[in-house]
Amino acid sequence: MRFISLIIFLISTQLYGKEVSLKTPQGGSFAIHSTEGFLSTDQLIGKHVFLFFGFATCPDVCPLTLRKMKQLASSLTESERANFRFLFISVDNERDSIEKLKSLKNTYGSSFIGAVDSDEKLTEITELFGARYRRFKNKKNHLVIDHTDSIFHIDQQGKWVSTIPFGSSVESMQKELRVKTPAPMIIHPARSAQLLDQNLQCDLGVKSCSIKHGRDEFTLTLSPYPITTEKPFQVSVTSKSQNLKPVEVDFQGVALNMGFIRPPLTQVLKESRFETKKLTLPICELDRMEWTVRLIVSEKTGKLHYLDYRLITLE
Amino acid sequence: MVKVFTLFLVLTSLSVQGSTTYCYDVDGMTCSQCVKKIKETFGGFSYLESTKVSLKEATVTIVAKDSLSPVQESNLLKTFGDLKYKAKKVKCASSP
Repeated sequence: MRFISLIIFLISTQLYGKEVSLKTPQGGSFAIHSTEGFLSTDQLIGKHVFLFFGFATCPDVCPLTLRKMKQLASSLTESERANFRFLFISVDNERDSIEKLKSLKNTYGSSFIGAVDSDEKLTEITELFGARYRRFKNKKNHLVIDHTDSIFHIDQQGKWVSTIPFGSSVESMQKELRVKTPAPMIIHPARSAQLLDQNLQCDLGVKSCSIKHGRDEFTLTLSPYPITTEKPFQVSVTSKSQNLKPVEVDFQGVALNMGFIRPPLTQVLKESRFETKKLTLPICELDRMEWTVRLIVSEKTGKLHYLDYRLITLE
Repeated sequence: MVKVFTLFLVLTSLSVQGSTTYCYDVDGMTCSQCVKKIKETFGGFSYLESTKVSLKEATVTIVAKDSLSPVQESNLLKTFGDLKYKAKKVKCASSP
């Protein structure tokens, strides 16, 4: 009995208090092979850059986005157009060559820059923006490519200033470009947080899940049920804690990297309830996807802790 | 009370019996957006209950509220074609 208690104690001391680094994508400069030669983003300082990850034979998202970019470019004044570039980075380095991307440039005009590189380079660049891409073959041996569909706006100083969701209108993107000083994004530097507790038995996809830690208790609810990919939902947290304030909730795919998904939590008036805006989890190729849902809580001093919950989404 | 309960059971069993599953091998689903497009399109068909898309298996499984008429079935195939996918009806793996 003592031996078992000792093992439990050893496991728990290893688990609890475990420190993780909460990295936040910051954007940043990079260099890549492109239709303009080997291109560094430093060469694009002075221009607004709309960055998109896609592939030339993509049937839906990419042609729609490319068409919108062409419409956007032609809706700009001559001087605005001279200071605008659409950087299309292909994540299909098996089939897309610089030559192939040059043919897209012929179709989509002088604002278009096509780029492609090695997987190492593509991973490095996508990670800068919290984006994701994955190539896999289906059972018929056909290539399927999953990629982030947002556009990343890099301003004239080379700073990533916003993320434009897929489907945004040309008018809204034009407005975004014409804002003299875009509101800076709140980007936290890498911070560390310590594990307080976890509840991996409860599935947030079907019910609320609570974690009690000492006198504190945090209940997470996702709604509306059922929680599936590509269906908007909201996270709410009910806190019974005097010292710890819920600040963010982080979604991480357990088996697959699904990109950066960490919406902030806002307190509902003076209640003990905190909510995110509506969010949507991306589709993946797995019929059953397991997620770690990490609630980040802050002490008054700013020291961070986290509590791990579990979510299962079914296709 | 017993009669109401019996009626409820009968109605429930009828609705369970009514739903029918149709499976398709689908060519051309090359990105995750295809899942959304197919689900949204078939989600608009009042006689369908649910649509499940597997990118990995290249299959679409459709549960209809009732057995589909030949016209409805050919309409489903036509819809796949309109979405630029090549679909072929196959026997569902889990069907008896």
